[in-house]
Amino acid sequence: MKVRRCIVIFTVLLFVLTGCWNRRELSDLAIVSAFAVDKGTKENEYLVTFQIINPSENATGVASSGGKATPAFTVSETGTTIFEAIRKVSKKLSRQLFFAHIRLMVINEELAKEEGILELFDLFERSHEARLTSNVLIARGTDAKSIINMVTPLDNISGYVTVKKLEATEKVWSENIKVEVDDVINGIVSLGSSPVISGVRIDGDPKEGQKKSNLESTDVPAMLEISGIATFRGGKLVGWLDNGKAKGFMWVKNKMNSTIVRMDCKKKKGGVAIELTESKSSIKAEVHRKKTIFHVDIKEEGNVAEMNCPADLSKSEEIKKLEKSLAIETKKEVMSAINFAQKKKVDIFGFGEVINREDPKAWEKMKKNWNADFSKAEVKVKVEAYIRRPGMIMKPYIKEVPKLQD
Amino acid sequence: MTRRWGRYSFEKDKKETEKELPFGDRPFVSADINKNLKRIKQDIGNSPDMTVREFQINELRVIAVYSDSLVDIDVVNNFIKQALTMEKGQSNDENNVFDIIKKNARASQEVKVIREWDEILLSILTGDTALLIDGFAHAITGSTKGGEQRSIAEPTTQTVVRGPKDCFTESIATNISLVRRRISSPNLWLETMRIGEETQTTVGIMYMKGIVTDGLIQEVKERLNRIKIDMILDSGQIEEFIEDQPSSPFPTVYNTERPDSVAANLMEGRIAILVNGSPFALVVPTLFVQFFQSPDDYYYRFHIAIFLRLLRYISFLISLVGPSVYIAAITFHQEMIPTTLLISIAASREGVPFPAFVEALIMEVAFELMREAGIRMPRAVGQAVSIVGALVLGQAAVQAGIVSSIMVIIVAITGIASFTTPAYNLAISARLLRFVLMILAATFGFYGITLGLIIIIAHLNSLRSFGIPYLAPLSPLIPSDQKDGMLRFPLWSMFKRPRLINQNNTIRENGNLQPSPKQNGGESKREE
Repeated sequence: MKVRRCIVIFTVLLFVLTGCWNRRELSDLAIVSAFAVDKGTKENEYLVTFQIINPSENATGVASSGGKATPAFTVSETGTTIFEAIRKVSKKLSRQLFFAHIRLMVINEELAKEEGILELFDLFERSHEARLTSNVLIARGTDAKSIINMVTPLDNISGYVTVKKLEATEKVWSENIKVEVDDVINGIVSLGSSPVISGVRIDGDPKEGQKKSNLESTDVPAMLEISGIATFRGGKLVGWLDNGKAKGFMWVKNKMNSTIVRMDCKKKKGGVAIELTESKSSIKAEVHRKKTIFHVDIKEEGNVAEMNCPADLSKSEEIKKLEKSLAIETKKEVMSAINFAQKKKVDIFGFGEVINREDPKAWEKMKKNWNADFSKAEVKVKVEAYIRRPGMIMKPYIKEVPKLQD
Repeated sequence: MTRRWGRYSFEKDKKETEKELPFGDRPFVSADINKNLKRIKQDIGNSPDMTVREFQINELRVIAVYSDSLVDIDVVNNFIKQALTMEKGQSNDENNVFDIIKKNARASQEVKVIREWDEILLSILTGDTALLIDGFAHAITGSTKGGEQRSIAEPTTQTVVRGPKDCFTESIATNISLVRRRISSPNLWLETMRIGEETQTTVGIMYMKGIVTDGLIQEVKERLNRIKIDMILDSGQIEEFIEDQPSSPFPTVYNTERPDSVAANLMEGRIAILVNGSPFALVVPTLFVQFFQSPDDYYYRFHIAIFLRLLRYISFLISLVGPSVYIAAITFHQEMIPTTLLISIAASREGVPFPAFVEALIMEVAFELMREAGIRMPRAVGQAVSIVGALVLGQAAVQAGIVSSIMVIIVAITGIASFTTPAYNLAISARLLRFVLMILAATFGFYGITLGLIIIIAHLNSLRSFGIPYLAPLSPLIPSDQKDGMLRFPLWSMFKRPRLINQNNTIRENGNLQPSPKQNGGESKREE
């Protein structure tokens, strides 16, 4: 009898003593897809903008009022903390904000430069709802609000579109790095590396991009474009990596997926496009008394994607030549990134962490003054490049054209 | 002896003697044929289907009593003719005439000599013909059973694509023959008993002597003997009296209308209970996995059988938790639904006036209504009703914005999934528990579903069927029985009978029967 009573009591307790749970109907939730942080009008204040999904405008096949509203809309509110703004926004919204599906956080460039980004991520770690896997971008040349205000073609919700663009370009062009909130937090916390965040800009008129008419012309008036990698020191934006520098950074970081390397071919400048298919880098540190040497070894493989000059790739010398110039080209871009970082005194590559891994004792002494030490460190870059496939043809037709003319 | 409704004298007082009782209550046949005639009419109440025919052999009066509706009249006539035709010289011996009639009757039918009224009446009421001879206080009964009965048809509830297509009928004799024809072994034993004070229903227990454990036979008999009731019309009623855990939503007795299924179960050491008047045989002991096994699993090749069995488990799970998972996900755990899916669910729920739980309840109840109506409604109106049901539930409800289209999909999938369980009685338990889980999901989310499932599994673990753990061979885990548990290994790999059910005669296959190409012998023959 006693056992049975215990079982009953425990069963009841199982249901009563639950942790936090909350029943919310889907129709009471405003699904937030992205949010943007700008500077507020007053000192110390943020202007937080939320992009909220209009479900009925996004579903296919459901009988909806389709065509009247935009797929998403934004609401802005100010507050000294982000959470204050979240609660304040209830004055303007009929539904409760729901953050579990946030994919993007956009930060104003001015804000990042002047006040820094250190304070912005506490909420992400503290809240059970927000995800640490949300992506972070810096709005470049415009305020963050207008980035998520954009109406975009193809996929409709600009918050998600931007993330998709970032993922796509990281995969095939590798000039930008996909950074999630927890990466940023790790970068901020770590002394041996500094965070980087990719940028996003508006190509066109931001005002036009807000309207639905943005979708009604074939030459889209305003487009979102992923652009550059922002570097941070002490939580403040100190400079942008662009083009070759950004690629060089990706090489060292071992994040290079695939890109096109432009090389000269005989007399024609930029006549060869090599499609990189694989790249691996390893960093080793040598700590000496006076200076520190880093060895960056890069191994890469590529295909010939396009070659607008006569060169017979069936001969191995030609391939060797291409491999050599590919290695040189790579090294050039890597060095430009390293030089930039050393000049700005930001260890975006995580060299400090390499020392920490290889020689923790030395790191204990170095870590206080690391940014200065980093700028003086010597970096030796070694590139091994291989070209594996010349594509479907061995000899380009271009070679034969001059002969016919003779 | 007359019986009164509602108060039975189950224990017949054997001490009462003939003399102390008034005539109508005397338990034995009288030697006076007139008294007997009166007694029959009095006991049966002059029912018009009772036929009493009188014959005169020399000076001897003989009456034959039988029920028109239960006998084959040709057999009866033959029986009477055989019994009462005297050969030369036979009739002279007056004292011997009873034995002579008995001897003659024996030539045509199986004959019993009875003197208790109760037994005579019972045998008449089960289709026998009774001969009463003047001057003898005994009756001769001959088996003359006949009458109309349903012929063997195809199974309606346990259909298979490949495999035998015969099915039990309402006649226990037919049913026994269907099993006997499959197992031509002297070890197939049958015992019968009568249950039901008024209906006197024949109940047969079939088992394979030497394979079945003796304790099990004893247990089944004890449980059947305990039943004291006025009527048994179907094996379902027997099931309710002999099951181990009557309060459980899960059935612990398996029923089948397929003779091949019964035969296979007998061979595994189970006991089959056949009930006259019911085309469903009971099979005990029963395991949980049995409800997911269809007879054609063994007739297909094993790859397909394994796939189909796993499919049934999955669909059982869907039919159990389908709507509750949906409710929990969209009211508690919106973060775990992929964003695009969440948006389209949100879009379809836009404007639905009810919370998800109420919405699900409406649809589930509507579906249950359709299902029940589908069984009960007259065949002629069936089509009309189902069209209206489908249109109203599927189309109109969504268009009117009462339920979301996603909910219709969920309910439809759940409904279809519940039909894939081969055993209807287990599908019904899932149907009931589904509502419980839906309530749990609506109040506690996945936490509630998890707790609910834990309770269900704990309960399943506590169940026994005739002493065998219900979840065997999964819990307790019996590795060798996994070959025919949730999976179905090739037949040539199943050497042994299920371990817990059968302990006497465990080996069922001889050595390695796996087919393989001949090693060498084949070639030499070809050369010749």
